[in-house]
Amino acid sequence: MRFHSLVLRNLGRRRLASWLTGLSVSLGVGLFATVGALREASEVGFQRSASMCDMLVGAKGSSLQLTLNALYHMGQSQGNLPYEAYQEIAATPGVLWSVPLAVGDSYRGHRIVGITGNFFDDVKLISHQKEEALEFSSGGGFVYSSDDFAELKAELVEHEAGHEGGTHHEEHEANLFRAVLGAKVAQSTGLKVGDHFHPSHGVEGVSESHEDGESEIVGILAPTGTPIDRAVLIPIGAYYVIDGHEPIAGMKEGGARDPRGLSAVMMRTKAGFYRTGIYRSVNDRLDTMAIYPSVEVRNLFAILGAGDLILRWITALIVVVALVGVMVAIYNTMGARRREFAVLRALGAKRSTILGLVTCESAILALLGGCAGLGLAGLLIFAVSGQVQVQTGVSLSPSIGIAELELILAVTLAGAVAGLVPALSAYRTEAAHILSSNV
Amino acid sequence: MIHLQNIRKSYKNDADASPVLSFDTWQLEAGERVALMGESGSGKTTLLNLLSGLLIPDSGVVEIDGTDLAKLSEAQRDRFRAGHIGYVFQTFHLLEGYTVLENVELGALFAKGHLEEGRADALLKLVGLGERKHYLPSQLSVGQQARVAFARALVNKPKILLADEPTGALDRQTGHQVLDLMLKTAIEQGITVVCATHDSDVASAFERTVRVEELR
Repeated sequence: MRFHSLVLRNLGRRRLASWLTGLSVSLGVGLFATVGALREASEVGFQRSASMCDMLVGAKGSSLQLTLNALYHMGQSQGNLPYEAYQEIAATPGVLWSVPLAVGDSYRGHRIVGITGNFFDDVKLISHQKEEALEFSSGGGFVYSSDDFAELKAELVEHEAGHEGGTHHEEHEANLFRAVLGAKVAQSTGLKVGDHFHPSHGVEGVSESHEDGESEIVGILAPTGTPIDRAVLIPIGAYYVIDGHEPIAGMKEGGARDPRGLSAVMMRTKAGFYRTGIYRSVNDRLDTMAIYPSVEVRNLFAILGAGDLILRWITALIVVVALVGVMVAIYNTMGARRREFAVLRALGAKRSTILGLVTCESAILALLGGCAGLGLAGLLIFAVSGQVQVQTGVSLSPSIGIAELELILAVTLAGAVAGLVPALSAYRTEAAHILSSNV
Repeated sequence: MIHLQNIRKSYKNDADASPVLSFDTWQLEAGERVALMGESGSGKTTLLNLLSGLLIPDSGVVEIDGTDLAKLSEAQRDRFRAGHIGYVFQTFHLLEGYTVLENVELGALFAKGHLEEGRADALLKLVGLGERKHYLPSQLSVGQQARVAFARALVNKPKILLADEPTGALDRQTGHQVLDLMLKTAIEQGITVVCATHDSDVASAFERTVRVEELR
């Protein structure tokens, strides 16, 4: 028999109490680790999505709303920017590429995003300072350039002016009504390359279907762990020719509610002087606003940080309460165990050995509870990862890193400290007195 | 082997409190087997606790094998006890939740060096419980528990065996069996035995009987 087997045997003898106290620690640690992992994964995921472009241009308004709507497909668009503004900004020296975005339709709860075809080639996701191009799990992208878009816009303008008949866009239709699905959309809808679907007008739930907007699926993107996974990407021109997006008579062209405008423009710019110049010139305009998405995400998490900190403190307190539970559970056994300690002392155990015995019991309970808690956190993260991916496009996966090991170490040490109270009581056991009382 | 001198021990800090034990000198030779008799409260158990180092005297010398226990720190006395002294208590104080074998092995847990392979088994065979080594104490009769306590006291090959009313909880026949076993083993292994008892029949089995009251 060795010291450690004495410790484990003591825990085993009080199996139910050990299980319950270990369970309470595991719940606390599990909650603490889950909250931390969700927060960290969210920030990493959000930053990964923000890395799609280094600048976003939209109508003047809230920069956060623009970021969330254009890149994360959340909330409502704050308004449109004029097409002409897009043309001017895209042509600015220093703009490496730009993708105009149009949002406002959906398919079975998934946002439809109008883009130009260069999106599939130009957009790169940056993770751990490594660029990743978009890949297709089946099919491929569609070809729809900014020139095609410009041509369509010109025809629409002429049509409004009454210079041509009502079939202005028919020659474009073969190119327009195609779509590429994000990985999650394909998974949840079961659609595959070659299938057709009708987009719905509006983004809140299922609304009216565009009967004239039947689109063919030409490609399905591989999972990216970003909101792209839950988007339906269509040529931006399609937005302008399907029912429900016609200009309202008398509406001022270029206004924020003008359906002929664009929701936003994603851009990659040359770094340094060019980038700051473009940023300044776009913001100097009366009708547009430029933002850095990565800065917006950082600001967002700074705002959320206070709430996050409170949540972390609450979960940390739960761990502390659980450790107090360990202390109380062990302390409550001290009365019944005095004879055991006295016998061990009579057999030659030092007081410090008795102190160590009880402290180790507490630390091991905390250690086992902590390990179980991390397992629980892994299960929780695994359980919610699908829903989080659907809601935010952020990909979560359970993992054990330095932070988790530090957490386990901290909980074990805290468990040992919690065990000191009953351990000191055991330490004070007067063997001669207890053994002489013949109890 | 054992030499006690100018011993004074009381349980209160008050200097005026009458001491439980107070005597000038007491000496035992190695291998001696002594019965310690006296009325209840006469200080038999206190004397055993002084010899084991569980207690120290208010004043005086408790010298065992040339080491004055009163001058050692508590941790040193614990180590000394683990290596030199076996103790059998009146109610045996076996630990529940541990098998008979584990209870015997516990006796060696705090001593220097490793327990010899098979020593605990051999001791259980010696006391006639080799077949019951995986039993729990509660599954044994009181007499068998006494034998386990005896085996535990011997596991470290002690030079001194202290026994506090070891037959007090046993019927006469079982008591004699346990006592015979203890004395036979002590003689074979040259162990010094100090056994507190109030039973003159038990005391008569020892080489020498000392009344605690007469030490005063």
